[in-house]
Amino acid sequence: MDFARKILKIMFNLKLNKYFILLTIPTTIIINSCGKNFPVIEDLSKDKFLLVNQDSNAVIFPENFKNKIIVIGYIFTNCPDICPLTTNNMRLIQEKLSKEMISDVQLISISFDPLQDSPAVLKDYATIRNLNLKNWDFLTGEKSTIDSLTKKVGVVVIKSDSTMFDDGRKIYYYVHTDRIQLIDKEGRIRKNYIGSKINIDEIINDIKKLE
Amino acid sequence: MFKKILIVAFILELTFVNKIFSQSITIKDSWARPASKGRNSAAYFTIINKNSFGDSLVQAISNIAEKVEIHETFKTENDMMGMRAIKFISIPANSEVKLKPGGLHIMLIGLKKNITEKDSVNLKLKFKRAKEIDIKIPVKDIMKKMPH
Ligand SMILES: [Cu+2]
Repeated sequence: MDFARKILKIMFNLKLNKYFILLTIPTTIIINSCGKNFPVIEDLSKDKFLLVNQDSNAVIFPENFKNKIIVIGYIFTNCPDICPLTTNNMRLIQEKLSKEMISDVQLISISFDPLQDSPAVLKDYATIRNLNLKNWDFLTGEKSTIDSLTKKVGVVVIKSDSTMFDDGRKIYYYVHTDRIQLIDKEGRIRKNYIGSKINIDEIINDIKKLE
Repeated sequence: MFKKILIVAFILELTFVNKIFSQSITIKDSWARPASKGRNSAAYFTIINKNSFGDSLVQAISNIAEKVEIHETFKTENDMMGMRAIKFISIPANSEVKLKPGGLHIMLIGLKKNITEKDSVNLKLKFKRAKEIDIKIPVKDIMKKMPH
């Protein structure tokens, strides 16, 4: 609104035609409320993805987190190199939020490899890293649900290399979007970050702006 | 005469030069990620080559995991990341090669047990020219201490 006020002040100073001012007000308000730096990237408010968390509790995403800001990261647990960086960045965000006493934020890590990442596997992944799950859920689900979710949020996942064990079991690796996203209290994606390289201060400031 | 020199040089190579090679490649700053049984970890370290000739890391062996592979993480367009197995890591003469998150790493695939912060992992590294090196790698969640 500061911007709108400034424009008005300038217009009055210039003693411009009042009709012109009346025309200008709505336009400036629209520009402001859309938030040039915070466009709505995708609206998930009408979506109901039925998922399950690390404790096998059913979770409807994003509905169950309404009225909370969501920081969401996309991972698969067979990835020990890039995905742990994303997970670690989520941990750093969590620590900073608690230091700054910002409490209305939910952290979510979603697996895009649900055939491998059962709730128990996700639970182990969090436990072995001593993660604080107080406001952090690790979610997985039916493959078709996860596929439609990743498609909707713009995370691309492509099956690539694999490793075959001696007993014939095979695990796959994925080429995937390196992503953390910020979702507002109405379930709309407002900003994309590179998951493994996110600037912690940047997202904390963005969260403050959305609060 | 020339033949004799060749033979002597050859014997010298077998007996001494190998030893010198192995002393001139060293490993520092090693660590591996914690991970649970059946899952994967990654090991990282810096290879120092003080030789005036290049070498390659061609294999890593460990009994901690079902499979051990040399991997590299790569970036494609649109912020996409992937990783793939590679055959070797080149180590140029008089250089340091860093294995680090988001780049080169040793994949420990299908861990035989949980590895957490007080554990360590044994790794045997085989080179094209230098003698193999056995290292003991501490398990650390190193990123906890160094936000970037
Ligand atoms: Cu790898």
